[in-house]
Amino acid sequence: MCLKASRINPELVIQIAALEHYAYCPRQCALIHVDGVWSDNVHTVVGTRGHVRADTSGQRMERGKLVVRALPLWSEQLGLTGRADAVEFDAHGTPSLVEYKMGSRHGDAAHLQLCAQSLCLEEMLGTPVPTGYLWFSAPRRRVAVAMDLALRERTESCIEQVRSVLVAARLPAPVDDARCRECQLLGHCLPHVCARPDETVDYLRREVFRCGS
Amino acid sequence: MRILNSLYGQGHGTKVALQKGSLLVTRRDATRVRVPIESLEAVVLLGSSLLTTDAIAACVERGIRVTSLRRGGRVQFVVGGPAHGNVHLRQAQFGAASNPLECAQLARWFVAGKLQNYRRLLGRWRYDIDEPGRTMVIMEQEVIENRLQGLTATDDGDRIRGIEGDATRRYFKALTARLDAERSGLRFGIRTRRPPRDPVNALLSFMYGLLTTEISGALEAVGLDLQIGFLHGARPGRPALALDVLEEFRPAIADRFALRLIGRHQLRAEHFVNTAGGACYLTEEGRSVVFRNYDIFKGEEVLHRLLGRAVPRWTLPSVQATLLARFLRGDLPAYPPYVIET
Repeated sequence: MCLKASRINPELVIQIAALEHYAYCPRQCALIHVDGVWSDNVHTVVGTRGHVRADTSGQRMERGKLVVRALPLWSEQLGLTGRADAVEFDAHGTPSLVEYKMGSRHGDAAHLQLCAQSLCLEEMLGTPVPTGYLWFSAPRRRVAVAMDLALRERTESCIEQVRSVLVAARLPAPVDDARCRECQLLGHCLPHVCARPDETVDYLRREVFRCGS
Repeated sequence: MRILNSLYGQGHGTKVALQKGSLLVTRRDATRVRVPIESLEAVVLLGSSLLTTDAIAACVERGIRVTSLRRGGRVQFVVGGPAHGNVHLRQAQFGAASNPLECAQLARWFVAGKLQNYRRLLGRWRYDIDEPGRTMVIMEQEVIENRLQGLTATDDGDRIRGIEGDATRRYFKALTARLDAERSGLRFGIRTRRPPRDPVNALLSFMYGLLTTEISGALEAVGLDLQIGFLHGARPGRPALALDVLEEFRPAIADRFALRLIGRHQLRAEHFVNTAGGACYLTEEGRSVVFRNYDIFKGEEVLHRLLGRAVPRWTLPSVQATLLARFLRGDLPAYPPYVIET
């Protein structure tokens, strides 16, 4: 266990999940983690339902490996907190993380999330975590992800960006692109309205204060 | 989009329990209805209907608002979980509420939405009413248009409230003529409340109360503070912000719905009861008629002109609460009230 003095103000500790949200859309990340907004859509409900097994904590031997589920993770150095779906320890005691994803592969936000989890685990256990796995439910396959230097650097820079957004407590501008159609916060973000302030002014003039025929 | 889908429980012996992730409603006459809890936004209880602790816990966990109403439609109690929501949004709300200029700006938008909807309703009524009522309705519509124009030039809160009061009086005068034309046999003299003194007032009060709980739920769901309003001042126990947002919805939802019930003779004199002294309330049977038809009414799609698409009526409180939040958080240059189609 790492007992080093905290480098990060505890107020600014961020959820590992925020990295994935930020990688998807900085405004979605701010809405969830600054404004405390949440709503479910089909993707999140499927995700939650699919996580029932991963969320049952406990540990047991599976195919010669010790598997610990729902393990709390944190890093004092990076100011992170979160939870691992599963951590596997092989015969030599080398840990690796498994992150469960519903559906099939989409983007590389999950890589950042997995790497951040691995950085936490390295700090907590004091041992290197060279590889992680993403398990996809649609093909029922796992994909190995190497925790190389490039990914680590990308992850650390993402952590800093997320922290600066959360500290500023302002909402980044809406993106209003193809991502929005699949976003569970579409109804809170209102990207097509917020990205066009002139239309609101026009609406007030044309509809709300309109008189005569 | 959040959906404001409500479950109404009323009647002695009605029980709402949790069963396998659904709410099971049983009544004394042995009717059983199962409602998936994911589809709900609110549970509204009337009278002595019963809700089990498990069901309350499941509702609170999912952010479903559980409200109990008095027979007039006023809120008796609300069940909620631990404080949640958006502290930054709330700070922005308090900041705006303590700035008289920002208050007046928001008050003007709320009142403008209400007056515009008054204007649009009156514009339709003129075709339903024979002389001499028609001339009066046309005249009152013109006055309301003048008041609406007067709003653009003022940032004085008291003046805005004065304009609102005057326009409302004129609107209810026109509503009397509109109701006379229905020949429904339901009395409506002038607007009376606390308590309502005739059937139409009883229905209107009940609908405003019901709508207030729906708006309150929508405001709380986006993290706004119900009690800090802009048009309505702070009073103990008064949901001032919900009353602010209610203004545009009174004509747009409650009054239109009431007129429909009366016009179709779905509510008749026997659905109301008078207490000694002259207060008037809906009977349990009358409230059932209201709920049954309100569900259908809320499910109908209407065009939201700012969103540029049709949405079911029951999403409107959520949409407007979200637009208000977006204005207060600096995403929008103004609060755009909801206006009905012409």
